[in-house]
Amino acid sequence: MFKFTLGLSLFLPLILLLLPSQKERVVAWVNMGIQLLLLALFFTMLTNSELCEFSFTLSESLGLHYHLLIDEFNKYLILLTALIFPLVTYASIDFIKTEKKLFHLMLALSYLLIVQTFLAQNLLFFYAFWECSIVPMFFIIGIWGGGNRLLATYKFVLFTALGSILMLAAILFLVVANYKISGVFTFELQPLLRLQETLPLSAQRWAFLAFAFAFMIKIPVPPFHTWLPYAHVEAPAPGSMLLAAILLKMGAYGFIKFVLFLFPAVVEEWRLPLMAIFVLGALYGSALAFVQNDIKKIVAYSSIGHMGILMLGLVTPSESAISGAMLSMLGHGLTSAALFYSIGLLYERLHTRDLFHFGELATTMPRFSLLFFLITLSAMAVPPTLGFASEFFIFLGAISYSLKMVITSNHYLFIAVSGAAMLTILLGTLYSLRLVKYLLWGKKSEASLLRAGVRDLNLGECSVFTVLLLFIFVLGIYPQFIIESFKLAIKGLSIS
Amino acid sequence: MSELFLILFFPLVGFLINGLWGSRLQEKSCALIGCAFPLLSLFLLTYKTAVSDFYGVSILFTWVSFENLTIDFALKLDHLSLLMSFIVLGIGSLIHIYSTKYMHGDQSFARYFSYLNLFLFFMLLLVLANNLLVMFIGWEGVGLASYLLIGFWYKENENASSGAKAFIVNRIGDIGFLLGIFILAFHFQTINFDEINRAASTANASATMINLSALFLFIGACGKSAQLPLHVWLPDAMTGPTPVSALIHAATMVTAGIYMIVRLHPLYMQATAVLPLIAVIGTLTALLGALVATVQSDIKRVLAYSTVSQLGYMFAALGVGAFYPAMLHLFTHAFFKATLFLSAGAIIHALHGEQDIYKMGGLAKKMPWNMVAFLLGSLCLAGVPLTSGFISKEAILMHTYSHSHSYSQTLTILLLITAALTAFYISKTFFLVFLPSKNGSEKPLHAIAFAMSLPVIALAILSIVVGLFHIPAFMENYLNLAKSITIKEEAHILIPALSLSLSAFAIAIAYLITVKQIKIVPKILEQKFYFDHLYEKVLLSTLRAFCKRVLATIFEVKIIEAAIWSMRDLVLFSSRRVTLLTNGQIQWYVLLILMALSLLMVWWFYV
Repeated sequence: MFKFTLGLSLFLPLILLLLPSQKERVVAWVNMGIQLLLLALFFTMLTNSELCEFSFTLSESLGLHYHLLIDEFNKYLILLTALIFPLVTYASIDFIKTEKKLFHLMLALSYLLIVQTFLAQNLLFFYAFWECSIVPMFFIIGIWGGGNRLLATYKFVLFTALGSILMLAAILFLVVANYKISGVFTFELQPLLRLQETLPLSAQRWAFLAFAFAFMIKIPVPPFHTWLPYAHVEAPAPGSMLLAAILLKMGAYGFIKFVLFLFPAVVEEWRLPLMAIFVLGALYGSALAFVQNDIKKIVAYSSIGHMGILMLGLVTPSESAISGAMLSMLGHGLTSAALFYSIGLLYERLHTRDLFHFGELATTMPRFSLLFFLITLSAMAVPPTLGFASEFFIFLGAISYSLKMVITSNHYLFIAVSGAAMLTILLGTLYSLRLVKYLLWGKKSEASLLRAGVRDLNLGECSVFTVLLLFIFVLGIYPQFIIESFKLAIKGLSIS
Repeated sequence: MSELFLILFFPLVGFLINGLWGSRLQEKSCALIGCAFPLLSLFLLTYKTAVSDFYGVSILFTWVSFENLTIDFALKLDHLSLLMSFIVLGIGSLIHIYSTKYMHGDQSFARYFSYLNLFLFFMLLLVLANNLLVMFIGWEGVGLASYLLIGFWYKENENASSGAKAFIVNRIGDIGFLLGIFILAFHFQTINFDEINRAASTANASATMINLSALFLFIGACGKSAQLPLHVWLPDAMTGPTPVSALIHAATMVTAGIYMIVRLHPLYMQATAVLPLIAVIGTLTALLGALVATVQSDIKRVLAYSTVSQLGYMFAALGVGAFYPAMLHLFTHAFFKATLFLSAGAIIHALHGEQDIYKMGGLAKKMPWNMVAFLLGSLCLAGVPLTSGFISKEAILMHTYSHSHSYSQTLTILLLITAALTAFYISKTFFLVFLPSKNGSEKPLHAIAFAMSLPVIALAILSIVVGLFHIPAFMENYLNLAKSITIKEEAHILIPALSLSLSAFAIAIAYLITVKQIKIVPKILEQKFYFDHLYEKVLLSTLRAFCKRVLATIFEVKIIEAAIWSMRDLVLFSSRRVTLLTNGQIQWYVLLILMALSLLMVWWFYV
């Protein structure tokens, strides 16, 4: 079944290519139908805990295996991808007005590449998919984006490519080093993991830096973040949904899979600076979200804030912090997708993204307001949402670890860093409530008064929100459902 | 035990029905649904309490389970939480009934009732929680409901801002609350109340950890219970509908901080460094609230500052280790403050929305029943003998006086002054509103429906009754909280004598200045000790300016972006220089080749 599912996702672009481009609706619905089928397939596979592994040897001597595997770390990201894509496809039916078939083709291509990136267990394949997954996004922003789209694509590609090149160098370095030490030439992740014991620490540090740099651009961690606001502002709404919900998670996933697993000693050594960078980044992103007037920028910068806290969880050696970070990938994925969808809906109706051009949507669009409000609750981590549960676990782990450091080694800097991280809760409340206040409440602004007759959400639009909210609340009320399955995986990370 | 979950979830059902389908229902059905579910909970609770002891812990599911920490979604019913549930559901139901008429004709009638039901659900969750996490969910939930209700009439920008302010200030406290939870989870590896309390009294509990966690939880309590310096949101919360002010911002939600500390009082008894701080903060809040209340002219703001001040009393009591008196004052205050708010609501309703006490007057004849209710509430608040307020306030004062610390005499004096100020502002308000005056408007009054008078009168009677018939003594045995103070002999006479004479004096002055129409408003009181000024004009605008000018302008654009563009410029610059080499002239290429070759030869021979 795994092969079938993979094959289906591989052939999805081809199937779409064969459809006539005049029948845009058909293309859209076929795309969505197959994506829903894929969701069902992935879901049954993962709940039956089947062994999902596929390996095809391209070259034994070069150690090139097309090796895909579903493990505890990518399992939920695959599900998230499989869930978000049909919603993005549905959203694009309304939001994308030109070259519709091409757009769906790009989505299908992007689906294929993202899933393979998450699954790849061979470093060269991982690198190839990682790099290629930029391409569909490049076209999505470049063709269907806003007025300043060329600059945005330019920045997006240059930044991510720069990171990737360093990663490629590090991959080659690891492979050669492994060959010198063990005499085996391989790109497989599993044998390379042994390098953490054999490679000298100084060499590990350089490789760590190259990998971490690539992932920190993608996540993004300030000061490597400036491509993100541009990309988000110019991308069409479905593109933003995809970018925030899934592409950013690729960075965090890569960090777990390739940094935490390959270089635990370096992470251990540089834990404090890493935590500090992520917390400063989170504070920086949240603080900037507070003073933006473009609603899309508010959400974009808030993503930087949430991703920073997520990364804090990943580098804290504690079960609850890492579980929280894994949960936060889902939480932020679902929440940011819903937020960018809402902004898309508003832009469709009012053709503005200026915060001060709205107001009183609670009266004119009551359904939208309710759903949007529920989403912001998750964004500002109010219980019982998934946003709360995940950040609660991260902070619980970070504070506990820092207290342990104070008691065992009189080290006070950790507690300063993780205490500062909790200020993001306050900043998150500030920017979220500002958004809610100017959008939903108050009086209609003069600019929006000119445009009469705003339509509230229809059934389809409501159901997109409902699906996302259902997961946000169910997992927030009962997080143990997912935490349980992280247990073994986190033991594999061998945290002290 | 499953009944406990029924009691908890009934209001949630009401919230869902009214929230999802309320806009399609008639006003009457909305009101019926809105009132029915809290009443159902109340009846079920009464019935179960009457027929059987159903105390105990009931676990619904495991919220999360880590290697060294398991958090259950569990409820706990004991004497303390039962008492609080009765307060919440009893007063809550009466206020629901009152609201059916107060909100009559409002466009968003169903929305109002759904929020009110949601509030009850979260408040019950907070009260019935078995561990700090469940309490925190309720804690944030009531904050959310309060935010929604303060900004209920959201079209006014001012209301929307007040709601946001309340939520943000509460969030500051909540960060403290979370830190408290984390420290306890780290130190005791549990966040269940019983286990924390047990572990705190054992010898190997670290005093530093106990003090730290108690301190951070107290910061949370300061936010929710409007204590210095996080009290600023409560007066602004008065922009919400008046029944909401009575229920959430006087009787129930704002007492959550006191409830939490009483819940954890064995822990707090070990937190010897934090208790004095609580006592001082409580006393200062009591004094400051009463001072500001004397100059307010909006009837709801008088009551709001009075609530801040009375909550301060409760914290002062907690700080000296008098947990039972604090709980008693919470209990009596809930009744008499709800009475005051509801009758103030009736006045505002009758006067078509007028809230300025200087524009009222002569209402004694026009609203006699309401006057009686307001009078009873005021007597309780002023601490006149035979009322419930007298008993609880004297208990607090006597305990503070008998406390062994050196500062307790000062605290007692400040609290006595507060008592006098309280008598002063509430009697001034009463005289201004009800005594004949030429300021009162001549407009015919809006009729007050029976459904509004009934809860007011019921609450007024209750607020007297709860002080009678040995109810306080019974409660003391029933709650059985730890005691650390024996009341000094002389306090039994000295304290009542002092407080009564001071209050009588204050009432006399209040009468005089009302009759003589004197109005003195010192600048510092008018500005409410400049707290709002400090937060909005100084802190918030500094933060905003910092984010905008420093982060968004300098860091983001002038440093990070500029660095990136200069890298691009560097690449472009050097590539332009390199292209100069390929200028298409053969002799130039030959020269280059020769130069390169000679360099190679030099390298070959000499290196």
